[in-house]
Amino acid sequence: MSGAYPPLGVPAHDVAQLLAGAVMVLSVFLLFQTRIAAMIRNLSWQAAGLAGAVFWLAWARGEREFVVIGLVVLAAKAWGLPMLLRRLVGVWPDDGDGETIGGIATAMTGGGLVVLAALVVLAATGGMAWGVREALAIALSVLLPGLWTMLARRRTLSRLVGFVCAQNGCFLAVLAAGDASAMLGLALVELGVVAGALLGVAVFVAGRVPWGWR
Amino acid sequence: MSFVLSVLALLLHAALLIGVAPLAGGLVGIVRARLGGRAGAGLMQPWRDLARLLRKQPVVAEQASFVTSGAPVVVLAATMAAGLLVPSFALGMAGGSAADLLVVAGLLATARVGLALAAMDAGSGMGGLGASRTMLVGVLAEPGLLLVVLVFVGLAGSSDLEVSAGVLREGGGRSVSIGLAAAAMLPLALVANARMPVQDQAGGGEPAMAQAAMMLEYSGWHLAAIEFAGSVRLLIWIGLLGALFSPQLLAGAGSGPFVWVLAIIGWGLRVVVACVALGGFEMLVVRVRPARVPHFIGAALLLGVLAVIFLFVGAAGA
Repeated sequence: MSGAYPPLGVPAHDVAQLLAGAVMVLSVFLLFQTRIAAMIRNLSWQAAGLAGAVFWLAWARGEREFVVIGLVVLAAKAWGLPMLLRRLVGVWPDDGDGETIGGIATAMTGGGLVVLAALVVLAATGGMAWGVREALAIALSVLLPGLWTMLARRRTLSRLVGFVCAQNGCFLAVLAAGDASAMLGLALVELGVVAGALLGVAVFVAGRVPWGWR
Repeated sequence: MSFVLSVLALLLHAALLIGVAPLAGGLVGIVRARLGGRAGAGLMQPWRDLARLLRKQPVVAEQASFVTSGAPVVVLAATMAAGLLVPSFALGMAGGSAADLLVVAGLLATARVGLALAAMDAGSGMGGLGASRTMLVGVLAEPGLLLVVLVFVGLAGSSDLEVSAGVLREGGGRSVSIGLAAAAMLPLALVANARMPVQDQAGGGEPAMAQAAMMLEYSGWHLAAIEFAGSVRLLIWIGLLGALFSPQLLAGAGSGPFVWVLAIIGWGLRVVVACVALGGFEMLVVRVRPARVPHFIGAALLLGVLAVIFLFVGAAGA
């Protein structure tokens, strides 16, 4: 049966897939969390994994654009965005904790979403190479738990975390396609959308402006 | 590998297992002590403890049946049998054809059940509590282990440890599935060895000592046998992780003594790294409440499910 599987031995592919798999696991474990601090930490590690995959592909393929994209992801999503979210929790602590869902039962729904993602990708991408199919299945497996977090959570900040997680799934899908210009554009558009969402939360919901944060 | 070499490899493996098992526990203790700002008891302390216990007469409760006296033998025999099946440094050892992942899991479960029965036999409250908690944890952890086995059955076409390791040595694996299976195995290893964050080996409080509570009634060589089996179990899990996830470091079937020496050095380094990592991890994390233990094991189960899913994604795409 082992002959049916493509062999290892293409480290560039293997390491990138492993890092994408780690991002997927973190997106499923996002559903496990009940505390906003843990969700933000999870999101930060997820972005670090994403940046790691981009850096690895930059090295493996010798594409300099990927380094810039990786730096943007690392600086903005792994460091900047979590820091801003933590500050929002600081000025709006009541919104963060107290989610009524979470735990292993909710995380198991994430497992169900991964099954769904795998089935959809397998049905829709019949002619593609197995590596791309697997990467797309992983990307959809990141996207769906993010959307589920947005739907199922009560708190605004939790939903924002789910939104960013879903965006990471979109980013992984573009990464699977390997188009550097689209990736940089998507990364910048994503950052703009997230920044807008953050500002909206801060100004219209929390009633504070960002420069008033302590 | 000729028959003589395969028997030699098995004897060497058994000697390493017996000699190093208590030292591994000692190394974890040293790391914990140093990180906690203490000097620690020394690497040989577990061996000294075993020697002291072997000199003492076991004391058995009056109302205890033969189960209490027989359990240490069953626990030690089942654990040693499992240990002999899991390759430490070389594939193709004598008896390797019996090295099935399900057999190893079954032998370890036999040891656990034997100890749990003995803990309830004497009728003490703490023993019963420890037995019930240990069996609960086992019930939750075993499906996760079976999912990991399923991944290797999918990859290698067999749950045989030697076949799986051989296929993975030749590069017949899928990175995402293997990575997820490895991530599932790590918490299962912690649970099976009664380590943090599930149980605190250094803790004396009631919630911390499900495993230790089952040994409260034991003394003398009975206790020595059970503690030695616990040390061997830690090496078994380190060997399992090594054989399944880094089989390239094992000497292949048919290799000679020169390759064995290199593989033994590699195995020793793996054990040292694993023990230092375990000791450091135990000092970094806090013990989870007993009510949260199913969540911790559930995470391992979820990782196992994901590993199986991506095994099938890869199979369909191949």
